Amino acid sequence: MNLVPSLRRRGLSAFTLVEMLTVVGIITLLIVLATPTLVDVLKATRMTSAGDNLINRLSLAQQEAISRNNEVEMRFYIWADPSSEQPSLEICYAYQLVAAPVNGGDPQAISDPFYLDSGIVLAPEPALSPLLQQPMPQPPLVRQSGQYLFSPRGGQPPASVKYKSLRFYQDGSCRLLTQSTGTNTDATTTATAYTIPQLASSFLTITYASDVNTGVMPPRNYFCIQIDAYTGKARVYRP
Amino acid sequence: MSPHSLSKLQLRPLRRRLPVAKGFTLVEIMVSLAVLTILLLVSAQVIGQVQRTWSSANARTTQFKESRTAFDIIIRNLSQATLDTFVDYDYSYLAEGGNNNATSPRDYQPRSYLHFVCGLANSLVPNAGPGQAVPGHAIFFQAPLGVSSDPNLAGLDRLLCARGYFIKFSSDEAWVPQFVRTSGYKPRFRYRLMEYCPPAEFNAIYDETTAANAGNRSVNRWYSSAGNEPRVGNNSSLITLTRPVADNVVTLIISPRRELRNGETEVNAARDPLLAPNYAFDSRTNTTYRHQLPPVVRIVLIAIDEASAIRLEQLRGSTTTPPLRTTPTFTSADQMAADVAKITTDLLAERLNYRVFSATVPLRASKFSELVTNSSP
Repeated sequence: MNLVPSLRRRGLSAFTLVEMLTVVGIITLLIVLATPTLVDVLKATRMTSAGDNLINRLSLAQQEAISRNNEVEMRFYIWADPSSEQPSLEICYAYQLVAAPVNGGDPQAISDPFYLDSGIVLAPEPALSPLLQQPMPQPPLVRQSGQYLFSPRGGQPPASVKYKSLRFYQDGSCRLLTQSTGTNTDATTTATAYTIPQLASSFLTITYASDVNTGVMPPRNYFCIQIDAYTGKARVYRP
Repeated sequence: MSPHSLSKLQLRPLRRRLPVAKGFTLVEIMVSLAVLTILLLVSAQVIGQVQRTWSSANARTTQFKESRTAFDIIIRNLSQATLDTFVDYDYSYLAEGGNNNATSPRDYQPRSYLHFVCGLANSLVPNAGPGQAVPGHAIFFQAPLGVSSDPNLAGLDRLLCARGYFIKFSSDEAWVPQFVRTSGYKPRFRYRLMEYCPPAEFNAIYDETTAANAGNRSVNRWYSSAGNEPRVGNNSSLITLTRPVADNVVTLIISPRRELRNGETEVNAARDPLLAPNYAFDSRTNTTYRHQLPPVVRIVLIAIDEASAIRLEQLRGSTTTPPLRTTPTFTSADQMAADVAKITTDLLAERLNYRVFSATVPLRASKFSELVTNSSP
């Protein structure tokens, strides 16, 4: 018959089970060896891009303040997200550009909120982010014609969100909100609520959510952004 | 056919196939390996070259971005400098050793309580370190910038502030976040453009002790604390009055000038004639232009990039001593172009990337008049 030899020849030229198992085994071993490194690289890349984005948006805030000739705030939103790696801690997961209210009006959002990638947060520890330490908790939110300016992704009630604020001025400088201001405070109260932070303690740090409050100092990987309040310019420190 | 011959027949095709299934020879493998190696080497070289070019271009743009920002800040603040000059009687006949024959003021004089001073940084901020660590010039002036850190002064945006600029070779220990300094951190010593920027409530212009009223106290200028070492630490209650604006700025040159007089042409006078032939200008002690603000100030700033700064460190083998030793002293203003050229050729000779920023800044508050000053003795 003609069929049988051709089948047999093909059968002879194929890989045996042992060969296949060996190859698959080697490939598996390589993948297992490479995965942790790859995951680290991925996480580090995400942190870098999160940091670069934050820096770009800080300079965007500065430019907006100059071009609008109006004060512009960078608001850092802080809430406890049960679906995150730190379910009970109030951490900053998002930030947003907001034009400061003119003459007691409503603040206007300039941008959509920017979310940090999952697993990456702004460190809440005082040693890592002094800019996010403020003496008093902020009022939950400023309402804009009855609507919340920001409501977090993932179904958390917007009323549970607090914020810290960095305000950029028309001359390019920036100041930090250090006192609570209500919805309808006058311009003087608002002005006195913002103070110039000292350069040595004018920074915030991006870390992994899993590294928060472990007490390891400095953290394994971080992206520290120092802001010179007089010029509004950022400087970066990385391990 | 016997079973024996049949098996022979069946085996033959197998044997014929064997040479086909044979692997590569050693020579073939070596040749292919060699080719592969050459390819890898070439591509590695290309990738390395691209990487180097990219990082140096990157360093250059980011570095010079910082220097340009700093330059803009100097220009913006300096152009607002003020002296608030007023005209008053010449009270010198009352002073001891003055013209005692006079019984009444004989003249009017421009006077001011404020101060504009520039000159060698070495002499203006002696406490900033030895001469090598503070190259070039320093400038100190008063301007209504309205910067205060006292919340009660917020909104007063014309408050008088002291400002000053000079270069200092120093470490960054004082302002690097504390947690960064906890492990594996080496302080970076760099030439930095420093800004003396006390908030308005710390402006010492009115409570200084000058040589005239010092008595037993030592002379204390309003900018005396500018050169103080910044305190290391995170304590937010300490107000640091001097702060870095940009890294790797190696020289700052400041030359007060005036505009061309009527009838003067650029042929017999330089473009902007000099007011201070040796760069030093002090609005209080200047005999010709006392209490006058120079109408224009020429500023030259030379910056290198971070890669060049690291190269300089490696060339000198020390991170803590100021690496540029050939810097001219900048004592004669008509030699400015030559001095700048000398610095840039020195930088070029060491293959360092540099950029020269220069501008002539008009001081809007200057009401410069030479008639008044020429008539007074």
